[in-house]
Amino acid sequence: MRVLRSWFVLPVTAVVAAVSLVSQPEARFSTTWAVDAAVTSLLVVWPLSAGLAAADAVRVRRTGGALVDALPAPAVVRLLWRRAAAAGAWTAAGLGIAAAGGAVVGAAHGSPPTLAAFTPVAPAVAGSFAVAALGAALGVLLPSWLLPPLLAAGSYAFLAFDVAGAQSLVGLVGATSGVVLGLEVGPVALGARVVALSAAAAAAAVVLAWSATRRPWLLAPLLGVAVLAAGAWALADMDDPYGHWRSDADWPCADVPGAGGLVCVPSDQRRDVEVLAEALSPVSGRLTQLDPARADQDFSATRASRADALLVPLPFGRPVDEPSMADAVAAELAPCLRGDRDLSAREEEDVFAAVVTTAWWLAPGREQDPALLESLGLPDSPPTRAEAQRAYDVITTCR
Amino acid sequence: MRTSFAALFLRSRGGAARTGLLAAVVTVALLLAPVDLLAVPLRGQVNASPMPNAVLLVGALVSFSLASPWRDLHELVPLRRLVLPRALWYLALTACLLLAGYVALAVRGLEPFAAHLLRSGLAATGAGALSACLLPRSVSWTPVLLYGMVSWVWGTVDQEGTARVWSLPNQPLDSAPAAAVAAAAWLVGGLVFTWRDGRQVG
Repeated sequence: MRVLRSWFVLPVTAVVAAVSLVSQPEARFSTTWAVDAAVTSLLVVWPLSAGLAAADAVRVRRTGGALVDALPAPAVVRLLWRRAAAAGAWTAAGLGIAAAGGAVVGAAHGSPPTLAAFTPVAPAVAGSFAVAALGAALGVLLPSWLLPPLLAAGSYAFLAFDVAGAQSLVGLVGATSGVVLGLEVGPVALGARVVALSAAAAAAAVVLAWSATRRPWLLAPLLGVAVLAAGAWALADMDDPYGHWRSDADWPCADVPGAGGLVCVPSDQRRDVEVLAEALSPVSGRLTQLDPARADQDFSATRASRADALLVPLPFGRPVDEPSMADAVAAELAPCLRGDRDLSAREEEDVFAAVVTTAWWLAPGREQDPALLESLGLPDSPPTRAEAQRAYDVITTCR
Repeated sequence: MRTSFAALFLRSRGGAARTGLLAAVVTVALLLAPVDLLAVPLRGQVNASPMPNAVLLVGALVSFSLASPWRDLHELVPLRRLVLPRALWYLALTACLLLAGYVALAVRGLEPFAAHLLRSGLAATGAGALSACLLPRSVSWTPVLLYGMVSWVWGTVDQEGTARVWSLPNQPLDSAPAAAVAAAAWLVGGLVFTWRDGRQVG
């Protein structure tokens, strides 16, 4: 009978990663985002990989039968470990190809590959082996052909339906999201994830070996406890993703022309720093008119350790215009819009109107949506200096 | 006592017990599946409804029950004797799994979503049947399941859940091409299964 090979996880991983890359326009312009988009493919590849590893183990248990039982215990262990590792290895290889492809796409758009961009691949590889080992261990414990599809479909359903908060697990397989650079995770958090996932893989491998040669159900509880403990440990680090961000001390920065501040970007997007500085120059100048204390205001493309910097969006290949910078800066100036304080609906509307007014002052040449202005009770002409000053006071003090 | 041909055929596909188990899985899945537009993990400002995509699980399960564990034996039987049992089995499985899904929707008071169930369910059954005919049972569940997962994560483009062209479950219900594709997939899957039968375990 033909032996099941899990090799096709490799092209599947590569194709899914390509879908992920194409769906995330930012990924083309940043190696970090591109590698992360590749890692994100594991969200759907891991359930598949677990099912395939389980199918391989089921095959050994069911069709190997007496032959497997007749083998010495170390040979059975080697046989199962090798098969379990194959699914993990093919997944990791597909991930490697996808990450390299992402880096090539990023490099072609002027984003140099950096070591930091590739660090999320480490826990992803450890996790791929852990998932395959778990699948194989379950396959040995429950040698039914129905197990692989139910295991894969069950994993999918747990994630998609967010059963028991399972969706928080997706933090392990990438971070491409509106929270721009949660993916710039620090080395300590990354290391903890690698160790946790490796521990889960080791626990599954021990159960796999033991179950194949002795009474299987004795170690099943151990598998459950080990997986839960490893998962809890890996996830504990994600409660505060901002707390683990890589230091931005070595990021490339540029002076904002005509102002005293800097704008800094992640190193793989250094080509955008001058573009951002140019776009911020008039905005920063008008901000200083409202508040002279902000004459040397810094700006950053992520909310990393430069805590006093104002967050501005990265261009990601799109043209940078003054209004988008003004919108970002005005919204950043309002701490209460970031959830620092509970606002009533009325207060929230007032603060939002003040943000719109301030952003209009910071970029006076912009076009405004008349419907928006009417809904906020704002006049349809650009604000005067005094109006902008009042709005600035509202958003900075949240009154 | 002589066992009838139909009974033997049914037994070779797992019989009522396994079909009941698979139907129960579909019911439980659709009892849990959220129907609202929810944020897709890792996609930022993009929403999708998990339910229409989850219906594709039917395809993964159907491919299991269409596989033929004793294909060598079946090849000894003239094709004309097998055509009717295979076609009836395909129809019965489709009806059983769709009904199991409908029970879940009815319990939740979500009958309007039955149209999603019908469209995605027919497409998944057809694709699952093709998969069962082309791939060994140990892996025949993978294509439909993978498509379902990819469709959930990357099948929409915005917060309104606007579907990409290739994402059938996320298409609006009045989309005639999506309905035609689903019906064609079910028909083609059924014809290929009736003619070729599912692959053997392996």
